[in-house]
Amino acid sequence: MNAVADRFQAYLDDLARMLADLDPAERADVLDAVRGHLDDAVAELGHEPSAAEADAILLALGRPADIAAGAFDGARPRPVAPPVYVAPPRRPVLTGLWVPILVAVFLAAGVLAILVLPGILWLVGIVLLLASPLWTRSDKVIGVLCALAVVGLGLGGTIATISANVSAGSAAAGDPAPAPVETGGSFGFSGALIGVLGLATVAGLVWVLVRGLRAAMRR
Amino acid sequence: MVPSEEALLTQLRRGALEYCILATLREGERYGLDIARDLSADGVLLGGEGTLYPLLSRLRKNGLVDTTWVESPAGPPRRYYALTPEGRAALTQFTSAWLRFSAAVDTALEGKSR
Repeated sequence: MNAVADRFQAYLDDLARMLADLDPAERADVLDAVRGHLDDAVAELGHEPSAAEADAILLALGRPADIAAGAFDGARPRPVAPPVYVAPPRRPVLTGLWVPILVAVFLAAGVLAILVLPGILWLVGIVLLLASPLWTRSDKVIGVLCALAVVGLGLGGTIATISANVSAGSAAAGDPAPAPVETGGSFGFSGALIGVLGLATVAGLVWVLVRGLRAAMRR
Repeated sequence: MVPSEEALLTQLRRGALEYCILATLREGERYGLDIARDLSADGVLLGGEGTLYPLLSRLRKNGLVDTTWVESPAGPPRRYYALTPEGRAALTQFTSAWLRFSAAVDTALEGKSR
């Protein structure tokens, strides 16, 4: 009986190996059923099978490879899911190339924010900048600082122009002009400050523009 | 190349064998060896008895048969297979489709040989 049991076990081991890639539940199911088949075949004999009887049982059962082939044969043509229409991903709002361009132009318009239309455009630029997902939070901070600087420069420039005109007018009217050295010094210092600030602002705006364009092109 | 008769049988079994298994359960539940003996008797439907079991497993997975363990008079408990209502309905459907199919094939083959 031991030799027969070994032979049956070897058969089941072969089958188990051949079913290794099958779904585990199905594999266990098939192996259990084949084991049950062998038990029943032995029980049917009513006595311990001889080697010849064991061979006959296994012969009727067929080669493990055939059982495995049957198991995989059914597993292969899995029901194919009907093709599902997948809508192409919609481009998120405010990520077009036009966004960074408008933002840069509108923020630059802030230099004339004292006038109504450029002021409105400037505000729109800030809203676009903050609303668009093209920029990171730090990009947005830089952008807003630049936008404020643009307005500051614009206002400062306007006031300076007006006051220069006023002092020129009063100088023409014969009022004593301020000391030239003092004026020159203060103008030199504030001029340099304005120049540096202006350059930094322009650089910041270009930075925001480039970052926005790059992000838009990546999408 | 002319396919061998065995290869043709393998192809033909594919669509029909699962329903033949269902048909063996029409009168009531049966255990694996019993079904296997029945279907492999003439060697046409089942090549080896063992090829029954992957099919039974699939039928069970698809809800067309159900299994129960029943104490056996000799040996360990046996797993019995029975038709589910879905299995019975599938068998009825197949029987009607098969009658039409086989009649059409018969007619075509007979017409050809005439």
